[in-house]
Amino acid sequence: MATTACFMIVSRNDIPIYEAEVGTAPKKMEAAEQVDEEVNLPINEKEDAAHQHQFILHAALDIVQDLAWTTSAMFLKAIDRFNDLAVSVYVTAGHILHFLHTRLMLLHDSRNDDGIKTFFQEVHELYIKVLIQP
Amino acid sequence: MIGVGKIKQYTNVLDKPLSKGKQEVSLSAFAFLFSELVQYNQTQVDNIAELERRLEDAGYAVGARVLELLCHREKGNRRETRLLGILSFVHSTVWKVLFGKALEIGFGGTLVKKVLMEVSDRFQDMKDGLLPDAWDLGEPTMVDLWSCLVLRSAVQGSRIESLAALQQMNLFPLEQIKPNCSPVADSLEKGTEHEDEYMISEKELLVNRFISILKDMGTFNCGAFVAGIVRGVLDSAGFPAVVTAHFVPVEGQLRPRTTILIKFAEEVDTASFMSDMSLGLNALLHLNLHAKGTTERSKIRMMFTQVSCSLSLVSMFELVPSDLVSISSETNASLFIYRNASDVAYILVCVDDIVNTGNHNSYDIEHISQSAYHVVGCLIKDVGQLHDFLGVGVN
Repeated sequence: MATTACFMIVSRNDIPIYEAEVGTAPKKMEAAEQVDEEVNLPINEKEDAAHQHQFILHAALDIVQDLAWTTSAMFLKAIDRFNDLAVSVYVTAGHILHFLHTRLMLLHDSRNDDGIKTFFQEVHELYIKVLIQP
Repeated sequence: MIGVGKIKQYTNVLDKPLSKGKQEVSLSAFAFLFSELVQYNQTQVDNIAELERRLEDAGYAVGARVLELLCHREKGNRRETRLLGILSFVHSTVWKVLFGKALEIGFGGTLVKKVLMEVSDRFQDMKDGLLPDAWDLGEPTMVDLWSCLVLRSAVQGSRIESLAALQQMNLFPLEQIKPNCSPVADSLEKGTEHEDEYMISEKELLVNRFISILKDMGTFNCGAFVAGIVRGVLDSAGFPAVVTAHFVPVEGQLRPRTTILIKFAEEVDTASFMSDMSLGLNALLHLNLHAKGTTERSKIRMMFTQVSCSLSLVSMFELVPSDLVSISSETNASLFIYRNASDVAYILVCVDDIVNTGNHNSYDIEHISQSAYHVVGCLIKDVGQLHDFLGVGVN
């Protein structure tokens, strides 16, 4: 099951803080500066996919920002779909959004829901640890 | 490189666990650190306002991180989406973790709001997953919780007559109520002049304990640091506010109390408290209309009794003055709530019945029947005290 999922952390002011490709066929990981909106895109045949990821992310942002106020849970799953990509998002207490785009077929499997949730929770803990350090 | 000792040293900060660790920090170390912070900022600025602002900014950074950390540790990854939620988070959890003491909740409207908010919280949880017919009435329901909390607040405020009255009805096991007899020294209050102002007042802020202010500094307050923390928490959670710290002189005490004044920005919805309460009441109606079987009905009867005395207790507190508010649920029932500074009336319109309850007769039945005549075109008959409603007995 060679799937790649795009993972992004977006701050409160819609500025991306971190971006990574995760999955069984990973490409190179990139970390974007908090104020730097220019992200170096990989130059290979998957370049279109990377463009697409950012586009999908922006479309999902609006949905998440409305949805975040309706529930007090942190994990919101499968909030948006685009062709065969599904977006799930995890909102932290400070409204930092963690996005994950995956291939749709993963989401029919309820085990993967838990897998994604666990993944988000681990990333959340790491995020807090990094945040606390001066 | 790794020191010898009981504490395991982690080479990478990301490996360290996020657990609570040592609960105590040396007070003198903190006092020295804070005084150094103030002194450093003093050398950088020209005037007092600037100094306060810098302290606030320092606190803001702390507040943003504290929110994330505490939500993760204490609240089990549930965010706050409502105003009262975040306020009670600030003045209970944050204060307890940062300053080692819990603020007492001020008696009166704020406690009621907190209660109602908790109630609607639980209802929200249940509403997501459970349908009314799957609602297990055996477990303590929302209204039990509600009534107990309201009652506990009544006892805290020495409203013993209410407790005695309810004792006669034998509704609440008294063990559930633990009156907290310590005097209300620190509290969260709502400002009376403006809708969007809240105050946390404390006898002495920890940061001010070892600081003495020069006379020529005027109204400078190192509590600006704490105000910054609160602002950081509120801002990060999505409730922008202006937070300031003030000294409030109190008669009979040498040192003035410190008040943290929170003024929310315009986009924050400060009137959402009303919807929480009506949500709770509508939940009850919903449950009532879906009840099946006699055992369920008898339990609902008890719940209704509790609700009605809770309502009367609620009306004794000072609620926010407001105009007539109408909330309609999905079942053709419409609940109208009218309040001013001391009166409250609840009018429930259900198909062809109107139920009116409240603490005063000021908003009385004549008024309702008159308006109903104009609106509906038919006369309303006053049947007196309510004995049963939709098959549920009411005391």
